[in-house]
Amino acid sequence: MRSDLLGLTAALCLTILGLATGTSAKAQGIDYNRLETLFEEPVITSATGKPQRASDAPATVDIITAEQIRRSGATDIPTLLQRLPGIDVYRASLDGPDVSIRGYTAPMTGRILVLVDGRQVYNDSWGFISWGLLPVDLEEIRQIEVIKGPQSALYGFNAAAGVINIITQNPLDQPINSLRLSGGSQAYRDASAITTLKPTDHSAVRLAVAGFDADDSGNRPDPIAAQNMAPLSPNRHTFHADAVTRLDDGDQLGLDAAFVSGQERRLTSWYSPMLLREQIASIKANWTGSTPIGLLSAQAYRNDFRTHADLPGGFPSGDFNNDATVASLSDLFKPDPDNTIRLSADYRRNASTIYGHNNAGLGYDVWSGSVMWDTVLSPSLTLTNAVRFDDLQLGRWGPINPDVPFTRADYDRTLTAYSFNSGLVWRFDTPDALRLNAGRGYTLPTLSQFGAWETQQTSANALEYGNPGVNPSEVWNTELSWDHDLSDVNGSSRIGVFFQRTANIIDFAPAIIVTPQNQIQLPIANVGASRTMGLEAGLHGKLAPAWDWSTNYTFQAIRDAIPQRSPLISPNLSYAERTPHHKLNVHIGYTVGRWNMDLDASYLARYALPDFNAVVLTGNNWAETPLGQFVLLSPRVAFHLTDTVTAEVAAQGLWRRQDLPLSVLEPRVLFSLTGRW
Amino acid sequence: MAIQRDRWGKDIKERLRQFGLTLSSLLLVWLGSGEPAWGATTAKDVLVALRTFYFVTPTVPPHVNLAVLFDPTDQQSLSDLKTVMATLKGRAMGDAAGFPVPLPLDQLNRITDFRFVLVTSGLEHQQQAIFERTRGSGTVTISTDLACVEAGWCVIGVNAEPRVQVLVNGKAAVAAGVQFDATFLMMIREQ
Repeated sequence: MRSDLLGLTAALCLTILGLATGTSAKAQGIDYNRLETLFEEPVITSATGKPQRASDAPATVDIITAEQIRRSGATDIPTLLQRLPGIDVYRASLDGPDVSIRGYTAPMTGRILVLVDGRQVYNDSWGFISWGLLPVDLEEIRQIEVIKGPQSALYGFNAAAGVINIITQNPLDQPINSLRLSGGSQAYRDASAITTLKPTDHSAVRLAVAGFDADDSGNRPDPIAAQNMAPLSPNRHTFHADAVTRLDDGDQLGLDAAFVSGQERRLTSWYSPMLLREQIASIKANWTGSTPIGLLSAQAYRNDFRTHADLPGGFPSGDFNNDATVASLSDLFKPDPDNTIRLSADYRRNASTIYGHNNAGLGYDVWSGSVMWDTVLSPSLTLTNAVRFDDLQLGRWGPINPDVPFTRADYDRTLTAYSFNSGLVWRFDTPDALRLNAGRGYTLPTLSQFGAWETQQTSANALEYGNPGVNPSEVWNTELSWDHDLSDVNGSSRIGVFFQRTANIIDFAPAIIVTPQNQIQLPIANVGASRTMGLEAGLHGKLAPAWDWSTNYTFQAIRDAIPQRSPLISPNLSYAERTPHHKLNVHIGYTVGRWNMDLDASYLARYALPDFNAVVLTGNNWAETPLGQFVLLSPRVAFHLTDTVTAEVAAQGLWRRQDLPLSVLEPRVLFSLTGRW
Repeated sequence: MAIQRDRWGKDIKERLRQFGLTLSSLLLVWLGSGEPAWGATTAKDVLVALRTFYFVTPTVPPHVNLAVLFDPTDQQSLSDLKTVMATLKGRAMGDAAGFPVPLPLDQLNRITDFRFVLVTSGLEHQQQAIFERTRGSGTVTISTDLACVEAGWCVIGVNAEPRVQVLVNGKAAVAAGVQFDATFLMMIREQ
């Protein structure tokens, strides 16, 4: 499969570059850098599918810019996300974090959708994002767009709590040439090399190779991991190629291919540690063109996840493979000056092998259609509405575990979902804006929750299995926010409140089935609902040309309505206690001469997570372990040795801390040397 | 009625009350700050105007002459001319490209020699005549006077403060024979 992908990549690269040869100087494509220069703010497409100023988006959007990434001292994207309001990040190790938007943090839940240039990077088999194994280097990123609240009306399933769209630089508009070497505590070693080739004025290809490894033993893996599994330290090796060409008529053609291999330690959905060795290959082609019927965009991609898992607690080691093929077509047009419409049709085929059984699998086809309508009601008032339907056909092949109480007919299931988003933006004569929006989104059960997991625990006569009858989890969200200009400090602020309701939460069923053969059966089911409300506030500005600062605060309270929990697996399924009530982030940056100095500080109030060790080591019942109430300090000092070479020292998370019951995270100190030209 | 307490034993109603008070205080402080800034034609307006040129199709070459149409008898117009000349004089051709060429109103017949014409303030009574002169010529008229665009006599209107605002009159653009990049049109206000 991977050799096929690489062959196809090479052929398409040559085709694209061939098309570009001899093109005249008339080409004009979408140039986000120039648009941002014109409007003096980030330009996004993630909120509605149309290019718009971030401040015009009818949703709460946070942007992390390339400059912020460069000055962050971060080595991965979750570290950057953690500094935004409403984002929680818990780490099981140096690598393998779980990220949530507006609470409900839990491993393997899939409430958020993560895209790299519009391509989903979600492993649907078990419902997680391998943040440490993304095929994109931080140097390649133009901006990270975080859209909060359900966005299923635009993106379909899993954009239930929000969307994180990682946008890389267009190699034609912003060529990147860089070399980075890093090293530091925990034997961390990292290197990346990126070059951009421009065979013609209207075509370019960016090639990036990167990798890191580290010794994670300092982060004190929990005793269960130590007993049951060989030590594993994270590593990653990536190759990424991004080719773009603009044709005579201004159309833009792109091809993106990536291959990643690496390993990480993550949590299972019952909070036990597991070791994953993964190989991820992807290929994507896209075309955008200005036609008489509007801006047409077509995209097709394929993701190929090959994963081997080592599980604790008496579960067998095994493989699970997930292939996803997606094709989409959209048309964006303005029938008149006050209205913009986007029509979109999508197809997604997603399949996974049954864990440990390569001869059996489960998958689905999804056909989707959506409409977005953006209308200017008055010069100060804009209304955006979007609706979408998804039609899913589930299916299964290969043998079914005879102990599972489902027949093949149970897996032949059709499921239809309707989602919507509606947003009103009221803009004043100043840069201030008031936003009111509402939406409904869905989290689809993972392929494991549908049935790709039917695994016998060998140490106990217990069988866990997915359920083809389980329904998607449904998220309703309403929010009100206000952007306010703070011209006195060259900055701005935002304050917003939101209310959210989640129905059909998916987890292990509360009732345990005991068969006549004394086998304990633990199926997946919809177990209940939950409500949450919260407040997010942020300020940023410049005190003087040399000083910049930002701060944000998050309050969130959750009330669960889960009548009964599975006594063996998730007796304490309490999202209320797993989400900290308060979170505060502060950033201060100072520039003098060739020096940059930055300090990021984060405060996290108390929360509590289930302690897997307490069950397995002591035989006690599940217990929630209080965590949090700590301050993370991450300073960075950089010195520009020349115009192209920068040396920096950065620390991440000064002082030991515990995000999760199973491990203590050590502070990290990193030194790096980066050349950019 | 029993008092509802959270896991740390605090009274939930009391916590909500405290939270409400804190929120109200923050809101009051927040609403009291900030002040809209308004201004006439500024150097920043000129730069914003130049940055719109890139989105006129076919693509504009990197170096372009910008005619600055002015009335030598009008102080407001002369003031605008001075601002444009001072802003663009010796400016590196980086994010905004334009060589300013002063064009007095009595040389209006030369207007179609230029692809871009900045119409200064103080020419309100000549705007219709300027529009008629540029009809079908491909000349882009641009002004910081949004009323000129709203009336259909100018193609592009810009204001840099308090927030960058770009207004395009579609009918004026069609009449002048001017086309724009489709993405750009998605992001601006059209008349």
